[in-house]
Amino acid sequence: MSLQTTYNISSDIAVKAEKLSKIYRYRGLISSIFSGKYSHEVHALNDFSFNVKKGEVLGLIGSNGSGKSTLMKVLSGVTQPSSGTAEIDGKLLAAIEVSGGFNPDLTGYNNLVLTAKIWGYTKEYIHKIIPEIIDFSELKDFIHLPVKKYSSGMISRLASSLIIHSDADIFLLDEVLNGSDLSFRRKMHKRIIEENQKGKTIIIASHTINDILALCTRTIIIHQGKKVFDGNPFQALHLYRETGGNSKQESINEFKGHYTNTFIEINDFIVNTEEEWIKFKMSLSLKVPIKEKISLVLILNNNIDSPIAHAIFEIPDKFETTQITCTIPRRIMGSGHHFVTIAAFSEPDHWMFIPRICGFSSQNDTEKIVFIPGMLLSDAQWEMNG
Amino acid sequence: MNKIFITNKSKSIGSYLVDIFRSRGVIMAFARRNVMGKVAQTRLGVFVILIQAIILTLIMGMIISRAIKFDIDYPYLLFLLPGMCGWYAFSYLVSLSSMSLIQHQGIITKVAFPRISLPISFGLSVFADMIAWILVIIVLLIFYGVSPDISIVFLPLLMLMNVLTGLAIGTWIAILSVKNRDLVMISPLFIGLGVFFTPVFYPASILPVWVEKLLYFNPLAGVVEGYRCCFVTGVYDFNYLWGFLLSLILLSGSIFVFSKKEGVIADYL
Repeated sequence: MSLQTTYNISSDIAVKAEKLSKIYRYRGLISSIFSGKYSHEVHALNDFSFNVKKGEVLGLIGSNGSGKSTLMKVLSGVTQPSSGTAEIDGKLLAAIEVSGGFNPDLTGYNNLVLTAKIWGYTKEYIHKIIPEIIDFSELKDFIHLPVKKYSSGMISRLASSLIIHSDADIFLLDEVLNGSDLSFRRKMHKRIIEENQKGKTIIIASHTINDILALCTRTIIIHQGKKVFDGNPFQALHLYRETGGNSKQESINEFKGHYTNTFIEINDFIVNTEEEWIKFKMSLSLKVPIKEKISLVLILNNNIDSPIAHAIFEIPDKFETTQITCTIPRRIMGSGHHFVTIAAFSEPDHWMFIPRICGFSSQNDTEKIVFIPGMLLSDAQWEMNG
Repeated sequence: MNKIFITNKSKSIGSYLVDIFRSRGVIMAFARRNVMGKVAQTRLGVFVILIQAIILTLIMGMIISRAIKFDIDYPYLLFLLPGMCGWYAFSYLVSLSSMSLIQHQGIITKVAFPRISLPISFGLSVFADMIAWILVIIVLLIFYGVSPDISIVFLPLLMLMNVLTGLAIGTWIAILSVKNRDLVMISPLFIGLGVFFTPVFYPASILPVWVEKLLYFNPLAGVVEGYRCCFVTGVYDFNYLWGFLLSLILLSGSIFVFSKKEGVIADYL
């Protein structure tokens, strides 16, 4: 009776997990010989429940060791859960470190065929897709070389091309885009969206913000095997960056001491948060005499690293040591952590760039504005017809 | 609809056998991968692996046949080679299949398939080695001008027996050494000693009668005697099939254990 009610789910759900738990037990060397008791227990998954609808793209984020890969391994059947059930409706492909399964001595072509067979593809389907895969991976010239001669990026390309040409209904993608270059990453993004438009369900685990923002319709944060958040990808990333996935506040790094290169030295970077404004104070000293004027750029990033504003100041007077203050209206910022990046340049060969020199926290009532990446263009003209 | 249910319960032996049958493509793919991986960047292919074993056998054959005179009415090399073929295929298969889970942990921890496919795939790929041995035996038969017995039609069956015997031992060692690898480290010694308890170098007839009876329960003795029957003598003692029965029982036991331990192999490797 209870079995029937558990398994009676509506047909538009692709993956349904109920209270999945996975406990790994280890023994120390001494106890393994003498007592036989387990001395260590790791709860890789802890009562994890979630549903994925058909045609959804679900993102999984969480720090290393939070249980993303374990979840994928349990769903794909690589390992059994310690308790709980899951139900999968459709053909599932789990792409967990595919390139690790390649045999380095065999050619790229042979590895493609053999891996496809191990995944259970039919012969006809393999013959149909292999030319497409080779085209997609742009590795035509190397396909008959042993895989050990490939660079790691090429292996990753081969693996991701193979994954995305699968005829599965549900894809589990665990860090598949790692190591591939920017243009291939964009190509994969496009292809994943195309597959999704065909009605395929995709679950992605990634540490790359762009993957989550570009692809996911929903995002889950995992922390120590538990679901912490389930919802909008933007909010998820914001929360993840704000808290690191746990409830403890991540400490914000204050700027200490000084930063110097052959051109300029920055001392005492101070952030003052006021009612309406935020003030950044710093002292600059030149290391070499400069004839041209010096420009100073201040870039403001929100906590998912999108630049939300920048300000340029061309220092009018010659100086050796000076104090500079920059004031920015607070209304352009949302709530949460922000980071300041400083750049200074003069004459082509004098250049300095300090990413995230200082972080600070700002609390605003306007929650919405945090979802807007990029600068606020106050000059933009908007029109609406009809 | 092909819905998949994931629970913490292990599979029944029946559904596991169905799973193995369904993943025959996977087994073939692994077997091809084993052979191709082994002969990659060699010119002689499978023979390059066997060259050492075959040359050693030929030299040993010459020496032993000079030193000891056994009561056989055909060339000693023709006695030794079929025996070595059976023994070599067996011990090679045992060592490969017992290491198969450990060596392929990269795939096991990432792709879901019936884990017993890996040892079975080595059982298939060892056929390539056996065929190479048989080619050498055929060359020797032509050299000595001996024509094989009519029972050579049973040769494929014997090769299957040989492989099943190897798998019976290999799968047990593989599954028992997932968690603690002590067994897989010690087993080569015992497998190596086993050659002296099998009539490979000597005919079973030189043994006392009660020991000869004991040999009926050595599965490999039946295989080795079978090869000799096929290639030269044409005489077979069907009591040797008791040993084969024993290896079948062992094999079904290990398939059962595999079906129970399937879900946790990836955790302990």
